[in-house]
Amino acid sequence: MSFKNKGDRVGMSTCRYVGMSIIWGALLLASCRNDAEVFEPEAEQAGQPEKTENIVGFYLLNQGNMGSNKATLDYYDYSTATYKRNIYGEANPSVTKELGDVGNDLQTYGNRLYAVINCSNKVEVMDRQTARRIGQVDIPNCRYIQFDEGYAYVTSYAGPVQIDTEYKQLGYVAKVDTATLKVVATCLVGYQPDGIAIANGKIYVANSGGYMNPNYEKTVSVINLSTFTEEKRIEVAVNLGLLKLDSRGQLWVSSRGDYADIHARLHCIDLASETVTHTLDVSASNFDIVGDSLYFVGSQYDKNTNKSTTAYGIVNVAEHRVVSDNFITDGTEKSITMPYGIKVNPETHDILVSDAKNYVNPGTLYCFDKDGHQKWNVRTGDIPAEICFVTTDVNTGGGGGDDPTGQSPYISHVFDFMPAPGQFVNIMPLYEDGDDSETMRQKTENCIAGHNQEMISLGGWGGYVVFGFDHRIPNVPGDYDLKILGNAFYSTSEFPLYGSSEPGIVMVSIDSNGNGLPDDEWYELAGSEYHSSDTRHGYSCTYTRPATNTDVSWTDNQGGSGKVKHNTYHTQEYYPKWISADEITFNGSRLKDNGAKIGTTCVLYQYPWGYADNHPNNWDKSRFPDTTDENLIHVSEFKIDWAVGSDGNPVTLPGIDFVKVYTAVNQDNGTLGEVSTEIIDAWDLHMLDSDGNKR
Amino acid sequence: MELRRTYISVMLCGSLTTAAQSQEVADSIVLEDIAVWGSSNRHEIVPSQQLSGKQLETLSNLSVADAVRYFSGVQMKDYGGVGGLKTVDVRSMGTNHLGVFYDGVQLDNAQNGQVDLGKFSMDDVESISLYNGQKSDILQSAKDFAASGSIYIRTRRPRFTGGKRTNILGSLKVGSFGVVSPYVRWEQKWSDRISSALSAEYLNANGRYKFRYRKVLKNGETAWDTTAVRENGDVKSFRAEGGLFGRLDEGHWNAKLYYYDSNKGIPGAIVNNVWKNSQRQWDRNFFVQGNLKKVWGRYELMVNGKYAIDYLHYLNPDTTSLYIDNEFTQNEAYLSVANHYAVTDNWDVAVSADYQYNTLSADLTDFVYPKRHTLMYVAATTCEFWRIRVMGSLLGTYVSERGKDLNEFSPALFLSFYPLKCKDFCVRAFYKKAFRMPTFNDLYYTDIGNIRLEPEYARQYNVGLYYNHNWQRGFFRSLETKVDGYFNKIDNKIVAIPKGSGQYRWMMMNIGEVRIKGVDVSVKTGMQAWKDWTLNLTLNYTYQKAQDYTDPNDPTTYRGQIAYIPWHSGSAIANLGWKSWTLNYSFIYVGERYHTSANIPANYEQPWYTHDLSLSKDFTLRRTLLSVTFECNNVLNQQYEVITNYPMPGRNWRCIVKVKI
Repeated sequence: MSFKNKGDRVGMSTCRYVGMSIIWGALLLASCRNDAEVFEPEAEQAGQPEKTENIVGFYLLNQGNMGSNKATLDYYDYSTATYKRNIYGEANPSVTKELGDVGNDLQTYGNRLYAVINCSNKVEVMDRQTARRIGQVDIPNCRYIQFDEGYAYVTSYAGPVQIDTEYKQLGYVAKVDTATLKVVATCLVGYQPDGIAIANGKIYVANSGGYMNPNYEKTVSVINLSTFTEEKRIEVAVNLGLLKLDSRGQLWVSSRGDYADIHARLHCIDLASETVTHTLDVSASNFDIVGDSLYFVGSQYDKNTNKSTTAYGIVNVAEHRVVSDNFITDGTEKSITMPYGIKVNPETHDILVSDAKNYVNPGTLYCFDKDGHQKWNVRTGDIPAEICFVTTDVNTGGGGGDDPTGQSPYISHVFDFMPAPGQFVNIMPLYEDGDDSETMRQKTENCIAGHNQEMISLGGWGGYVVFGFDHRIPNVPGDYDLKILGNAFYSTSEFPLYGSSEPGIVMVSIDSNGNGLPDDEWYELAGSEYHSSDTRHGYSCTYTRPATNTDVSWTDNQGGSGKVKHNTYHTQEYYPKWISADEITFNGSRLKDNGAKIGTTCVLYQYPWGYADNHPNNWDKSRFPDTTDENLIHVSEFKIDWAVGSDGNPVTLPGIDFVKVYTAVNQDNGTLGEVSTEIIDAWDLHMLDSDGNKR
Repeated sequence: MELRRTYISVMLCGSLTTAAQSQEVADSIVLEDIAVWGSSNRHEIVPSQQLSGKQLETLSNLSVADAVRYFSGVQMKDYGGVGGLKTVDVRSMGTNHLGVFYDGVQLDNAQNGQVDLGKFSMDDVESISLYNGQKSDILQSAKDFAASGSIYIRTRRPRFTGGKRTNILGSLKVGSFGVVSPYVRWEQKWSDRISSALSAEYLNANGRYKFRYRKVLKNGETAWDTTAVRENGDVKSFRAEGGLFGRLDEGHWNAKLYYYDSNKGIPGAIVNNVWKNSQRQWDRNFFVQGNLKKVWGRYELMVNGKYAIDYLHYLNPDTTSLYIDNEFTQNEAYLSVANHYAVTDNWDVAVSADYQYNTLSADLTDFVYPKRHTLMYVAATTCEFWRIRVMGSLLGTYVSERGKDLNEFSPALFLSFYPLKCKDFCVRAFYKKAFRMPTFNDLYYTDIGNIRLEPEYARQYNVGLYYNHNWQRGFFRSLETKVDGYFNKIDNKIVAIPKGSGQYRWMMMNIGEVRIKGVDVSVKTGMQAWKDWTLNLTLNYTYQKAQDYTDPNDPTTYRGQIAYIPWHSGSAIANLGWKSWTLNYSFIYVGERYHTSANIPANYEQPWYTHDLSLSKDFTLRRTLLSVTFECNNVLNQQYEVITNYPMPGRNWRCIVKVKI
């Protein structure tokens, strides 16, 4: 071999460089790793914009394959005909690992949206308008949800384990207080309970026994709502699935059969007699009842032909018979592989059918008009399953039942948190490296929303927080509508009362543009000092970030200046660290100073009424047992009647959606530091009484 | 940025060093071995990719799976951690089309068709080779002709130098994930004709490691950032192997006993609100196998036999989901006879026949207890004329199972051509049609199984170039370059599809079709800079377009890149030696992928790339060899996933001490 010749050398080095260049060039062409971004929703036009009466859109919950963590939420807006895929991430960018694994049920109740996330063992509670997360209820292997009188009832497979000859595990229904999002009671039912419905003071639960093949369950459990115990069982058929009420006092239950010899069926139970009155030879994987029509989609696997057949039919619930065996009239059902979900728009009778395809890839949602012609279709997430309509009407629950009180009396959302410099700033809530306005807002929300009652401090004069509820607080003329809780207290003084009072001015706003954001006009709730000549309206104060960790200087628009003094008890920076600007200016009204020295002691006087963190949170009944003074009884409570416009004239608001509180006094009190309003909670007084008990 | 730095440094390494080097030490061991056993390696038409010797030792491998990642054309599904499932897919044809051979006899899993390479420790392994198509040796069992791609794991054989009759090897590995793994091996030479080896290994690991999930907003700010500890990834395993090695006149034989027992947690997917799983798995594998090879002039005979029992116990004790407690036992008996006759010096013919019997029993409701008889017979020939070598084979497979018969023929044609006078450069091509049987799970698993399933077919077309040269002096001492382009088509692909009744239920169907176009490039060079310095570089690159042709009516998946197959992937290994020191750097790159064939943003998977370093030093104390190795894997602490929701470990460490007496 003549490997010494020149040609060979060239060949060798050419090979080397070509080889390396190909490899490394290709790797460079291939992309590097980026930070994973929160999912951006994908918007797509589907159909034409429609004028609707009450229904403005619908949510669709995609199950996602087990273990994929791909339960996602889509939203369709009728007014713009846009379908937005995967909106949860945008609405809740800070939620770790998003919505979760295997979404099983979706309902609205009051102003909330409830998604049952089966393999994440939780019910996700969101704001109905924005899909913003309010909280979650941990229920293992949860399946379906219904509501009644402020409680949610959720079926779960995960009851106590029985070690019999075989492993068995009963399921249960969890009763969840929608105000506290806590499970308050459980009631055992049959094996692997699925569908649930509530009527006539009873809960009906379809037991499947799905884990016990071939010993499937055959019964519907009947639970007495008031005692929350199982009363009886109604024998129906093997492997029950969904269960829904019609308007004629009948309960429709689907049975899935044993996937072999016993076929899937649809059964009708008469609620008066609690007996099965009709059984139809219909495979209803999913169904929806509107008026007298029960629309179903189904697919039936035949082990002899090894094929699945699909059905799209309508049952007349009054006549108990199939009146249409294919509501799709234009032949487009051929493109549907695996019909999975169905929902009928009760206003237009448009039929929404979802196709789960092969379970691992995105599905499709089809919309048919009432005559069965396809109007549009759109790509969904993986395994599109449950659909839930959203109505404009704020106080009416959607698919969740007819009780309107699925609302929380507590703060549901903090929109903005901007404290002025102060001794508790950067501590309450705690600033950590990397925090920004949004994370601080979230922390503030975690403190005061949902009855969490962790204190936040608004800092010196002007510092504010803006929060809202999951519903509009109505203005009931003459009544106290709102309560805001702080940390004020009385010392044992005579009148005028003093102790610790760090008053904050309360402003309110109504969402007149309907965008869910506090960008509408603000109205001050005029308290006892509003018309005082000592109150400086149109006041403005600018704070400057000190170069070192020391006092924070301020100047106002009336020639005044001063310092928020750094004290030895609180050694952190007083200027909000997440704010990049070196100056912050606040505008509003400044009340006269309420701090004074009695001897060597600094005290803070209470104003008569109308300010947050001014009086204690509760009527001091031990000190003023017989008082008739409303200001001592309805401490920290507010009337929307007090609202005034910027011109000082009273305005009548039908209700409020947003509340802003800001520190009203600009005074340093020596060892007590600056006056700074503190907030821990706020309530809708039409849902709770002054002591926080449910009305 | 990371990638760019790597690129530059490797280029610098490649161009700054100026001397060449001798062939790898490792190769000589393999060559010696081949010489000893007289294997007719010269008949191999398509060369394999191989890792062996020092290079294999200094790669940071805990299991065979870790090493296989460095081959081009290979994608590994790695569920993370010490005990996590690791399966290999060659050229996107699917795990079931890959044959894994342990000392020449296939490791089978009739139940699910997948061999978990994570179970096979590296301690006894001497070399690992990957063959595309098939190993094109003439004397091989019918099974060697059957798979679409094959991995050959070859264990260490006893070697005695300088009149020694006993070798004792011992090692201890300690490192991250709570790994403690002692290993001991005893080799004895009983006579000039018979030697034995006995080895045992124990592995204990808590499997815990930190992982981090983080997402950012559009503006780059952190949206959420969570660090947690991987739980339920603990492993306890014990492995013992015993072998007898005999030499005959013009032949050799060996017999082997293998026992493996493990108890491990299955860490599971990390999803919202679920950060820990509790499923467990117990494995017990036992097999005994033997091999005999003898030459009578132009005739050569090889007999292989095996008996295996595999026991699997799966438990899901989680009371929030379906409780599962199932046991499975598989039995396998196998016998193969291969005959080779050299008709002339340039023309060989061979005939082989294999018989295999598989059973599976399980404590499942309505389980059918399948039994499968498989008979495979093959006729093959190779001939060499002018500058061309050809090998053709036709494999017949007869399967009988539950009263049903199946007959399949799998042809293969391999060709190589040397356009130059010297045999450094070669053009080669092959065609092969093969199939895989539906597994017992595909057919009979309660509720999911479908007894009507047919085999799944894989057709492969491959054209490649090969260049290999060694130099006695100079900077470059060796260069081996392979470039292959291929087209594969998978028909009748067995996939799970939803089954009626609207519930989350599945069944298996023969409906899939995948077409794969790919290029594999690999470059291996050995360099000697000066005197005691050696540098070996191995670079691999794979481009694959693996498209899903299953459903023309589904625009989101039709012609989409199939799940988890990156378009670009590659690896680099640099091995720097100075006297008794070895520094090894290895790099793996897996480009962007999608986790289903719907190539949409929601299914996007980030590229990942890891840098591993190891430093080892050999000491000689009298007649005792001692080596100490420190490894740092995933040096840049990349937080990545191979399979979505299965977080992989970040930076981790290991220390290995080996003694040889």
